[in-house]
Amino acid sequence: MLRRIALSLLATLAAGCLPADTRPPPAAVEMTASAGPGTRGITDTVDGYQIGFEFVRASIGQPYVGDQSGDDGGPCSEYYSPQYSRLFDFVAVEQPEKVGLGYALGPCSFSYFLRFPNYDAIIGTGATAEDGDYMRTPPDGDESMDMDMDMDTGISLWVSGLATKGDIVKSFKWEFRAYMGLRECWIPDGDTKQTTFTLASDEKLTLNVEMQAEALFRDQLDAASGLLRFQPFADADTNGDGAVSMEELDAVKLSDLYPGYVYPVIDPKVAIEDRNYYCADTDGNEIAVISLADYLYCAAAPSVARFNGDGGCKIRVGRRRRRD
Amino acid sequence: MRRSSIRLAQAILLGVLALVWAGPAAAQALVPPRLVESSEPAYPESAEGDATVTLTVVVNRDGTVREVSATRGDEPFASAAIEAVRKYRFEPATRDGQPVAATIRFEVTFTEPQPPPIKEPPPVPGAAPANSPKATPAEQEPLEVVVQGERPAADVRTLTRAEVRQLPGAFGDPFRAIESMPGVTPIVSGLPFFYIRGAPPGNVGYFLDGVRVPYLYHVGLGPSVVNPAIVDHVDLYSGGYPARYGRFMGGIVAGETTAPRSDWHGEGNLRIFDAGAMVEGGFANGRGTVMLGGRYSYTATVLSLIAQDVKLDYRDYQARFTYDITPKDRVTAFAFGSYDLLGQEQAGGLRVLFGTEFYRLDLRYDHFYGADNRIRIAVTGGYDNTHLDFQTNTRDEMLGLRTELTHHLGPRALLRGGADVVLDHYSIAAPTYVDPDDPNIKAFNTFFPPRNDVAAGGWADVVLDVSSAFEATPGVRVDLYRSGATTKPAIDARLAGKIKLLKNLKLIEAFGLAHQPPSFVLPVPGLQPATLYNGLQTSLQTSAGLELKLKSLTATATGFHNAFFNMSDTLGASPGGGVNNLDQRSMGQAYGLEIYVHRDLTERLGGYLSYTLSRSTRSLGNETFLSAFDRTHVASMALSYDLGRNWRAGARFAAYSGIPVQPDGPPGLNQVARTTDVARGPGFYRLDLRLEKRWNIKRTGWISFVAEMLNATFHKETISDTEIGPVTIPSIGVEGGF
Repeated sequence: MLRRIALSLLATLAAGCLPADTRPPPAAVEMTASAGPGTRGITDTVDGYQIGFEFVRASIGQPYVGDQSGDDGGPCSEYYSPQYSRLFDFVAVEQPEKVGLGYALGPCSFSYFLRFPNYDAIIGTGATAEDGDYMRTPPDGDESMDMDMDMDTGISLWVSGLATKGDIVKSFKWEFRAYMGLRECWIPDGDTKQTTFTLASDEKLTLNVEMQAEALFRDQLDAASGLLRFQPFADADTNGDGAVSMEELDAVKLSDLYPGYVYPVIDPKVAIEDRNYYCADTDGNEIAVISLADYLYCAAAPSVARFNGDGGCKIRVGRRRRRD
Repeated sequence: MRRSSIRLAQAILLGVLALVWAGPAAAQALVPPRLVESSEPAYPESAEGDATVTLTVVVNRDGTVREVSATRGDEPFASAAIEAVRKYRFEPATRDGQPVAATIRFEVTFTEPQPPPIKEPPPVPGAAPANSPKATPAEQEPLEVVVQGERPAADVRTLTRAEVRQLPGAFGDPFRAIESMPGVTPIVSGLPFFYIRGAPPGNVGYFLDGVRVPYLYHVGLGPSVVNPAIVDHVDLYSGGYPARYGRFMGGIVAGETTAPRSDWHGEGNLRIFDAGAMVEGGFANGRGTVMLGGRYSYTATVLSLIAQDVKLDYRDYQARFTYDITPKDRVTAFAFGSYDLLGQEQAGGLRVLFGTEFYRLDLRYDHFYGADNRIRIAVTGGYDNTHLDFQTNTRDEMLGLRTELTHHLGPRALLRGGADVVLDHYSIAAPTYVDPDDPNIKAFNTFFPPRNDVAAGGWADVVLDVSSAFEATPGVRVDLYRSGATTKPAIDARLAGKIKLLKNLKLIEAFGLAHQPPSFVLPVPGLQPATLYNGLQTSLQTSAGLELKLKSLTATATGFHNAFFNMSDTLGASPGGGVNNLDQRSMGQAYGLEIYVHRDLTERLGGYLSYTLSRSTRSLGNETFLSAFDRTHVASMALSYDLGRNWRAGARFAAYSGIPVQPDGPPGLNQVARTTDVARGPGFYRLDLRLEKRWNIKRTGWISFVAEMLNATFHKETISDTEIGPVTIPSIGVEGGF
């Protein structure tokens, strides 16, 4: 008897009592990112411009495979979701690149972020450590920056390029300082959207996000029905220096644009959770999409990242700097 | 100032000379104090039943009673016994024929008066009336005698179990009660992790009978992992601690278990979430004792009624076996351990969100010789295991060997010394379902890699009674640390002193240099950073204060200054740079004033007032800024009152300043310049309540109903713009003992 007790004690000391994780093996979900032809090459717009990008630097990551609600205990069992981002210059990305690897089981939804590269971000193809350092630096001379509001004033998406039309040459170099959450991503399934991916044990699934930088100039969120236009941007260059700045775009009211330029209308009757996109300022208050800059920040920029090439996600833009 | 220094040097020199002269003298037997003048304690009016009170009495060299407190026993018996014993006279304890001050423990027994017989016999002249209360003073030998050479260190505050039982919001747990002490700054109300004089929780060492306890509170928030019933007292060393304690640079919390008892006794409690019990008794005619204790939570069952998929378990155990081979040789086996599990039922299995366990087995041999001298040789084996969600199991298998010596070099000098070596084998079970490129995973593996660590050292100090008014304790410890391929030595000097200025007034000072390997934010079993290559953390601790004793009231005012070098305080300094910068080192300092007024809570009316005014800063590069949990004012006061008829009620009020508002800049973004001139978040206060009704059963038995609530005012706390809580912890239960 004593020997049995002694052996039990020794066994306890040797192995402990903590139980192991007894869940079944999960599915592996790898997220990749690639560059679309419009990002790496020249794109024609319906108003006669040709657009090319010098760089399209984006920090993409934190893929989440789990319940739509984000709660534990739902039908999807999230095992692990990476909490880091990778910084790419998608002009240089030739093949799909790894973004992150998650593990889950059951019917799950998928989401990810475009968010400034923090210190832990991995520098990917085309990007440099200097790019990352710049993108996480708050804007210069911003005296109004309140320490409790600047959490996401780093740059999520940084693009530079040229648009030409005959002798007209317009340049643009824009920093998008806001986090962009792409949630409940879907792929077309006939006339419906598949928002749930059923994951089985030991299954391997790859989900790709294609960066379509030309979507910045699309006049609708819907890629199928929207058209690429640059003229409203060219017209915004009121100082005639050839560079279209974000300040100039902020002076352009969407309501003043010519008919046919369709921008997303927010129906306040629709619950925020059900809206296709939602844009908030640094206080968390909803931003009304009034100017062309608003549209770029709140709708066009996040839709640059195109889930599965022809799919989409609910867009949640937060912490956009408040208009002075 | 210069004159004082010279006097101090002279005093130390005299002490050392006395030590040398006294050195070779053979230690004579210690003669304990003998009671020569006493009166029978009056049986309390409001009491009923029989009771036994164990008292700790400090007997002066002239035989008068200096201090008396109850270490076991209930009101109103404890107060009655204290009141009576204060008037006692003793023949003082002697060593080498010289009177010495001593602490003794003995019992006073109260027997309930019997109703008068119907036919009362004629009284015998001179005899007590038949219905007079019967109380037995210290007719028996003292239970324990401790020569005052072993009196507390200079900068220490002691909490006895008997007193802590009466402290509202501490749930009878001495380890939780340290938050009431001055110099202790809470992180969040209700969370039992503290800054001590500016040092973060990871820099505070917890010990039980000299064995390091790697984790003190169940699931971070709950009761301590040691059953309070086996804890005699807990000492808090805020700085300048004795040379015995090292390898921590912020503070020491040292618990001592109760002395072995051969009479069968025990106690237990039954609360909403857990139950605990302890039983101890003797065998072999008292030569051996065995004690078993533990706590078991049934939170899983309770939680299943609310959230079926959540699993929360905790339990702990303690077991002690002692056997006196001879009257001067004792062997002891002491085992204790703890187990916590927070999990979730998921996908038909169990997901372990957080789990931790540790086990310790301490085998000791004590040899007592001469007049209260002792040698201890001990071997400690341990196993730690922690599981973090997404991560993996980190394990530590440790083996330690230590020896300790307590030797009286003469009537005025006590030598204490020791040496130890601790081997830690850290291993890690690689996680299966993670992204191997995840910087968090990589950083974790870099921070806690598999390896072998060794810490070895020796220490010694001498308690010198330089004169009747001056006690000095110089000490030193030397440690050698090795982790992976890095080796770092450390030499720590310590000096403490007590100078009697007036009859009841002492000047107390403490100085200490302390080193520590890099530490994790919070003490968690098995999570010891492997970044010794970035150097040892160092602190220079100084304090000086006055202690005034007026009958049962003690008041202290202490000023302190701690300087920290190369500290790995990511909690207080919040260095930028992401997970790859987990071990960025900072400098820091903390200074302030502590006020403590105390009347034993076991008195009929007991209480304390504790206040700390302090400032704690960190320096990174060229920036100096407030520590993340710097709180300018921390105040706490408690009252406990015997309402009569075995009812006792108490209340504790705690309040403190808010922490600096986000001095650490935006997470992940490039650092914004930080300063000490920043706004603070809102302060916080709370009220804790306790009510107890006790019934005495026969001679030594008792049962109590205890209702207790921490933060009865349901106040919320704001940390970094986030409102937390209210963290309110209610406890209703039944306690009992025999």
